[in-house]
Amino acid sequence: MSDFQSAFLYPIGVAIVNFISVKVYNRLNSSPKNYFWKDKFDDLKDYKPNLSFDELKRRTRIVVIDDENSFPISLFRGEGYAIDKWSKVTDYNKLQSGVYDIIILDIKGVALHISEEDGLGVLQSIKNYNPAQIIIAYSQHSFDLSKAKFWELADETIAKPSDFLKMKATIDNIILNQFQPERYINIMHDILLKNHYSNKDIRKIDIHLIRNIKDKTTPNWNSVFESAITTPELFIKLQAVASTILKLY
Amino acid sequence: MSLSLFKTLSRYPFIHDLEFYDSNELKQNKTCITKCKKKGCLSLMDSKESSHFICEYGFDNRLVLFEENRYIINGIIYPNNSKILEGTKKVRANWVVNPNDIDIFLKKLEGIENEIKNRVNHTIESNFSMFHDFKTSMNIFFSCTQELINRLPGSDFESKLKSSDSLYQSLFSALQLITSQLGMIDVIINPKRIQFGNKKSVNLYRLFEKIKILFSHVAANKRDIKINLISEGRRIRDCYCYESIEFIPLILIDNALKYCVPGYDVDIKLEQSFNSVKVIVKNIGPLVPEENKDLIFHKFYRDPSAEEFAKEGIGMGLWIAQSILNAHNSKLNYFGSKFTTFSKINPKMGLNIFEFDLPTQ
Repeated sequence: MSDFQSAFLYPIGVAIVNFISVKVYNRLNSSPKNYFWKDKFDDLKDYKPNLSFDELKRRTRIVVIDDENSFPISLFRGEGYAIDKWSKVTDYNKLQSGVYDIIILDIKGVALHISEEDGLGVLQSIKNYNPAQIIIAYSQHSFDLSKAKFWELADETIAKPSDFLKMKATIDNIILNQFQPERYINIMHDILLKNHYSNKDIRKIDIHLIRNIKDKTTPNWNSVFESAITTPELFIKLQAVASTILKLY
Repeated sequence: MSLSLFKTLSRYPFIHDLEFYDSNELKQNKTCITKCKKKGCLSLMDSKESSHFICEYGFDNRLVLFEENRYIINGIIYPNNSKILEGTKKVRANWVVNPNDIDIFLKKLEGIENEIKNRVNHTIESNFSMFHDFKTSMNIFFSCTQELINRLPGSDFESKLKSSDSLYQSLFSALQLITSQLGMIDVIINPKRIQFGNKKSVNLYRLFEKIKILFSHVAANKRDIKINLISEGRRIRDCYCYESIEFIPLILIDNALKYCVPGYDVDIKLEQSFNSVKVIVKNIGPLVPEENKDLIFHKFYRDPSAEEFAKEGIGMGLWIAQSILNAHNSKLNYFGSKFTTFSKINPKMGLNIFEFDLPTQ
């Protein structure tokens, strides 16, 4: 073999072997290594959204469930918050599936038609179903000792009545500190680990989401949570949390 | 269940907070009090795995939990206890207790405790239904005031308020004061309210400044008292606190004004050290006698010197302030000093100092 042939064929051969090895390795380990054996994708938590507070505020969907009209809805709307008002729980499925990022919930007179425990029943049920759901307790019964659980389970509290600036500060604080990808990623990972998903499976799901974040596309949830399709409750729970993660980019 | 109630109801001797108590029906086992030095039964207090323990003398001990309170029914003998000789069982027949009897007794206690809780809740609910109605009316006041301010020119609510007439600002300040005072009433009824919500960054200087502005008008007009607020050294950094921390400046400034000799100043000083902020509130007013210095932080306690000086007050403020600071692993301290010029005129008066520290970020 001439020097010319060996100088070209040898590296090409090595390159082909390396290429096949990477493909085989990735297939066997569900790994996203590139040709140089480096991870194609970083950690999902390394992706930091680049949203201004105003944009984040606009994207945060809030619902106030209160049988009175004490919450200053028009003031909040005037300042760019996406906020709805229900006088009672009219669409429980919407709450359960995570349509709203923040639920501001009164304790009395809002859900007696669906729960004997009224607001507390709703809070317990949503938290049980979707632990990522942010719920703010909003009631004038903060003196009521029998309602202690309501205040303990909620992520935050707003006493009724409160002045607008105080309410706004509380909600802004939640948006800035809790409505963040890292919190939802941690919750999603917790759910997956509790349901016996391996770290490899979790990484695979993370990579799916990273691709969607990079491409700015809506994922095919059936392929992201393929193994959860047989357990619809888990599937909906994961989809609710993951949708919120994507919404933050 | 409180110690006094447990002591009244218990049929068996027990331990609480390392103290050994007789019951009304049965005294402490003599061995536990006189012979046993090791007190191995006390290990049950911290036990998470087991609620039963047989001590080195062979006696049975049982841990009983009532929410935050832990009791050990101690020095008893279960009928099937093989470590105690039959002869001893006969001598100590009164201490031979069937575990099922303890279960039944505990169930009764639970029932009594639940009944008491229900009655307390019911009483609060019926007594405070007026308070609920008051809050509902306040909602209307809040809505109208905020709607009025929102009609003013400006890009957002805060800027509308800032550029508004001082009357609007006073109105909104009054509203903020009502929010805080209503919150304090909640704390009196339900002290758990202190720890509601998440901790967040709070600047104590700004909090004191806000309350100072609220009170300055009243203090100067009614009592000729000036409130001075200064921060010393470095810039005051934020603390990580529950929302209830906002009651601290309200209570301390309100107290300092209420018990201040007219014509004198209330001085508030904040000092930032390496990783904490010290808050000192001083006034010239009635001195608390040495023996009552701790009592002033008790619920409903009003020192006679305070009662003599100011009629109004129910003795709740300092208790609330202390409870809030305790929830932040801090403590409110009181110091009094007679070495002031005013003490020469009236020896009952002197310099009162309230101070506390909180860690900063």
